[in-house]
Amino acid sequence: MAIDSIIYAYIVKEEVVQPNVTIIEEDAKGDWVYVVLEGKVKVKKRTPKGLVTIDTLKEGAIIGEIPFLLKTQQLRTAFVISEGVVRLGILDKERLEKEYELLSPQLKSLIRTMVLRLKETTKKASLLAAEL
Amino acid sequence: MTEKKMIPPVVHLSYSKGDLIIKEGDYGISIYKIFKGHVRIFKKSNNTIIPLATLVRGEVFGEMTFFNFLLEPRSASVEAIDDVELEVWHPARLTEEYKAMPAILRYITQQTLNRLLRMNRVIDELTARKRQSKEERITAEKKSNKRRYFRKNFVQECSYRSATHSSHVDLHGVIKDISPMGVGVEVIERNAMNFNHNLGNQLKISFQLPSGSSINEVAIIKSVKKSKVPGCLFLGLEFSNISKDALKQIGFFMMS
Repeated sequence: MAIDSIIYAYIVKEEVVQPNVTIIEEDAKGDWVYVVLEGKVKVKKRTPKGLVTIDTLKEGAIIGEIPFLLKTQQLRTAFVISEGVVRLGILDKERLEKEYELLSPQLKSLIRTMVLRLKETTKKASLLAAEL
Repeated sequence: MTEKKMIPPVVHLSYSKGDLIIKEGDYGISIYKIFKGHVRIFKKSNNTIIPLATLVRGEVFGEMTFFNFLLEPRSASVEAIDDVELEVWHPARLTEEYKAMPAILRYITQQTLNRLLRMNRVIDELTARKRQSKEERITAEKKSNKRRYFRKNFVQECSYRSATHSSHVDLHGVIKDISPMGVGVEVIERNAMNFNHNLGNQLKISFQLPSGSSINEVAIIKSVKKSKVPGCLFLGLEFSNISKDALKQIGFFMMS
């Protein structure tokens, strides 16, 4: 998946991460939003039976967007771990926030609802996966 | 007078407990905000209902179709849990705003939608696998139970009496089959002792195995059926706390 030029305009810093490095830790505080520029990352959730992989994201994927879109002091909802060497772009959070705040309350409410739904379904999927 | 696009006004709707507000698979464009009451969101997969969420006042639903640009049918059903009042938003103005919002926010939102759709599919698949694995386990258990509790045909007279009421008189029956778990016994329905062959009654049952070993055990009536012999009943008895020796003797007989 090619990186959209729009995304490059928002990247303020790039980082290279070695394999099996935890980029985001579930339940930790943090609101950086990243884009995967190269490589793959695994999304994992804590379950009673240990960590369960629920998704694999490739270049172009945005990660860490849930706390940003929920606009509250949310904790990270999952682990994001590099599969191989991964190049990440850190997005300009302040610019994103300013633009997001200009949206109407109704549209923000719709986006928030969808993000909450993603959070719930991801949790449900990880618990189901752990049961099997 | 300036020509303005007509945007449908916000309308309010009321639903009663149990009413289906959105049906999975239907096409619809409205977005709903809950003003009063609770709704349940669920999906159906192979006739199994998968509950997804319960929403309360202030929460919104119907957003998936909106972000999908109204191309996809409703991805889940929504039902009123109690009396519900909703504010219904027509998506026209919001669609315009969504299309005009910064491209990066649209990109992030579309990714969120794609992940949500993928997670919904994962839940469908995992639910189906869970159901299949449960069915396989039940079938395997049934098979293993069948082997474990295989009943051997065995015709042998027996005597029995109530295990809970004092009685010095024995009643007689004929054992028809046996397993380590219990026996099937044919008995006369009406008897001199007015003993009722009711489910749950406990009996002291005595009989002999062909080896000459005596079995004296307490058993519970688990089933009562009419026998093919007029005036007789067929009782399914299950041993309660069978002694190790009796279990061993029955085991030897089952294998012979």
